[in-house]
Amino acid sequence: MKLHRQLILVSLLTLCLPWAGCQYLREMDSALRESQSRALLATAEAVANRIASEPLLLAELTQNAAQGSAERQLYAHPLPGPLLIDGYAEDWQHHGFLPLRWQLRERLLQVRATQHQRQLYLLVQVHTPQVHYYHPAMTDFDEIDHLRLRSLDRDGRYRDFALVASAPGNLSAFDLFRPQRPDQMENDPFIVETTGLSQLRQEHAIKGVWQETALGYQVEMQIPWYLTQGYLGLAAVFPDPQRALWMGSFAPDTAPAPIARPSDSLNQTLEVFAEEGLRLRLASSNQWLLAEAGQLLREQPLSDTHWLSRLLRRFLVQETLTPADRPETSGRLEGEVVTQSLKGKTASSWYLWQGQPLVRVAAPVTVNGQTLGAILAEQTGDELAALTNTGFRRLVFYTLTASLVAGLGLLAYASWLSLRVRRLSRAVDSTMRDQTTEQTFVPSDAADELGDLSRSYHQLLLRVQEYTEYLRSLANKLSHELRTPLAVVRSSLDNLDQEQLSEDARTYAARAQNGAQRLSSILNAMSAANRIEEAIRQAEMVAFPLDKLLRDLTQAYQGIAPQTLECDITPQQNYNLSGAPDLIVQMIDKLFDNACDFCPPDGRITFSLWRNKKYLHLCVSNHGPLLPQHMQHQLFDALVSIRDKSSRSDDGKIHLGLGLQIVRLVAELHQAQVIARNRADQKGAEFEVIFAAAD
Amino acid sequence: MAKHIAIVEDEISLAHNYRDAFSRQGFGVSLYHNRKDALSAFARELPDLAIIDVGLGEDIEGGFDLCRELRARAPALPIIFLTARDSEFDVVSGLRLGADDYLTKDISQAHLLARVVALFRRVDALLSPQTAEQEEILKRGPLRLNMDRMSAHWQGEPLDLTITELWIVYALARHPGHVKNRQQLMDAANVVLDDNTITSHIKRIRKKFLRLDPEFDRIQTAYGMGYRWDDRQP
Repeated sequence: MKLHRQLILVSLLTLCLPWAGCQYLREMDSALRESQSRALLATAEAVANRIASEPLLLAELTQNAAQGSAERQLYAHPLPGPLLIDGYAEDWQHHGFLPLRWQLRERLLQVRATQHQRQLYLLVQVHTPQVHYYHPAMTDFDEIDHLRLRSLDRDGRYRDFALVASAPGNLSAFDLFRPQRPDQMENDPFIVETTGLSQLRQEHAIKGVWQETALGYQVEMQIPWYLTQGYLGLAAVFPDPQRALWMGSFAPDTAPAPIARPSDSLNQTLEVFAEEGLRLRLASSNQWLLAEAGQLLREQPLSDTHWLSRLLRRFLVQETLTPADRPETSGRLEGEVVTQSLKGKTASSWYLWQGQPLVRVAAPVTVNGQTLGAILAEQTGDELAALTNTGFRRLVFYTLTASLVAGLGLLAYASWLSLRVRRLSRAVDSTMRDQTTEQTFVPSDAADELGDLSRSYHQLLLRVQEYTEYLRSLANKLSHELRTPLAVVRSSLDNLDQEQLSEDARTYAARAQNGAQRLSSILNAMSAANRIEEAIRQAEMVAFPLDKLLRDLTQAYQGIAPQTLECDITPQQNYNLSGAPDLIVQMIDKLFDNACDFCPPDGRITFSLWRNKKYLHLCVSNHGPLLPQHMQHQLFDALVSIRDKSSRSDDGKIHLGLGLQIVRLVAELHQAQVIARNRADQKGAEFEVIFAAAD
Repeated sequence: MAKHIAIVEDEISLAHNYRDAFSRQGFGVSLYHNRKDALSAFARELPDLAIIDVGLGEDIEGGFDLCRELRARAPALPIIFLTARDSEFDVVSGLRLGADDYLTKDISQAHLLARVVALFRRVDALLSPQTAEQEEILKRGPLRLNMDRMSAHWQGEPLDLTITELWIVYALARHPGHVKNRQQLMDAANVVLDDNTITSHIKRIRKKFLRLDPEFDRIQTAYGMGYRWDDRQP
């Protein structure tokens, strides 16, 4: 992985800044919530204490409707105004009250109750396959579809009403007045069976309208509160050949349940404590909503928030809140908070209310260790939300900006670093490649580690260059230094020739002479490169045809070497070259020598010359061993000989690795490029020299 | 009277070897090992020929200085540089200082002697200006070589060739049109040299001709083989 890519990855770490900010916000948020719910709880407890200390209020809490099982109780929702009794449900619907339901197979009973100014309103919806209406000839109410009401009279006796209709429209309420309690059965003379239906008294205070619906019928009715005495049971009776079916909040032999309803006095008490944005509710011990005061603040939250921060907020901050329930529709206060507080503990929880966080705390109303109810206080987290929202937006903005700046900074830094490293490595590469020119590597003067590296490279390259220089001059120096002692040897041997010597001594002298001769030629070979360099310095460039030169040369080479020679010059081309022909001849000589040395005697050496646009390509190719991969770019250095022992020719010629150096020097003089490579057919090596054409 | 040769050479055994060789040929030989000794001796009496090493001990350019001073004192004295230094630059410097030849130390004694004899012949010829009838003269067009006097003329103008150069020109011009390879030229010039030295000799010879005649192109290169004298008739 490249350096700048690595640093980009590293820069991604700065993205933990927003995360950390969000963590901080979340903590701040929860701390704020905590303190808010604590403050709210204090309020709730104050209200609870107030109620617990007021006997009148406690009486409301201890009434029958507020104690015991709520199972069969109707809840009379408060209504701001009277209802029009017309049998239709439209005026109920916008209040959204939830009904009590009873169901048996296809038969269904739904009851909703409200009250306004001592009047109780009921909406009863019944699903039944067929509606049997009242007719005067009937003998028993069980033969028709009708509703039964059961309340108590002042003395606590049952009071039953049968609500019947002979057709859709106004209904009639018959007061059955049939006490069912066993103790009353004996001394009560009014028994329904003994009187006729026609003799039953109609109760006109109960008004109602019966309407048929697609699935059955519905009844809307109004009952004065005094008829109920706070108790009311309701049942729908479905006629049946065997036995009439009862469905509702009471059976023929059970007592009516008390009606649960908000208390005015409690409402007033709560009203005292309610303030703006604070809603107080009182739950009875059976979880009926007995009082309510105050309004929650409703704002347009988060709507101005940027989508990005909203998204991040959703991901990072806001745990999912459950929507708050709506006791105003059912009359019941449900949930963990209420049940906890009714067990005598305080509790709090957060809900989602119309898109805002809502805190609900509950404090028990406790008298003598007995929990009679619970005060619920609710408040929206608006201020909180606004605060954290602004904070969040800023946080997101700042941290993202910081991340971006840090990322860009790191990216720029990485690019700069990798640029420097690349530049350094390129400089080293190019210096390594052309060792001929003077030291071109410029050390960096930067004070950091890369600068150190660059300077170290500079030192290293200088050393390498010195070493190379030394190697190059070594041959020359050596030949120079050896020449004088050799001259002593040779002149001594020459003198010895003139002396009177025995035959044996003459043989030895001849051998010594021979050896000195060879030594001399070695020295000449060693200084040849140096002399070539001199010749190059003094070279005069003339224009000459390279093809003629090559043709002459290959002719001259014929017969020198045992190998087959081939000269392949692409005809009809202009091969004029500006250069020093003598030196080029020497270069070709060396390439030829080299090819001869490696080519087996039955092999073939090919000289080829072609022109490619402005370049002349001269190639000497031979059968033979391949070039070793690892030394290819050293081939043209002094004293580097790559031939292995087995391929060494037996002609006694010495190989100092100077030949190809001469090739390189001549090529450099002509600004030509030399390439040593293996042949495409992998049967040998070839050397290609590329000159720029003269024209 | 025996010719007197002065050898200025810091390598004593080599100097002695040369002295022995020359003495054997009947020359009188004096040896000097440094410039100072040589100069004081030359102040007293000039030799007939001086063989000088370029590097004289600590005095690495001593031979050149000595040659300069000697040439100033005796313009006609034959001087040969015999040195281990074979760089083109040294050769050119030595010849420019007025040396008659510049030889490297790996030359064999026989070749050295041949050269010395040839030089003496040239000196003698200069001293006796009348031309004898039996002198060996080679004429090739405008070229006239007198190998007895060791002199060369081009279009009547004298060419200032060293002995080596003269022998090379002679070898080429004797058989015009024939390619002489480097080895043949070396043999003719009584030297053992490498290819590059022959090339630079040829180059110098060409330049000397060109100085007299800018149109000169008689010495031709046969690539890979050698050189030939082009004797076409104008």
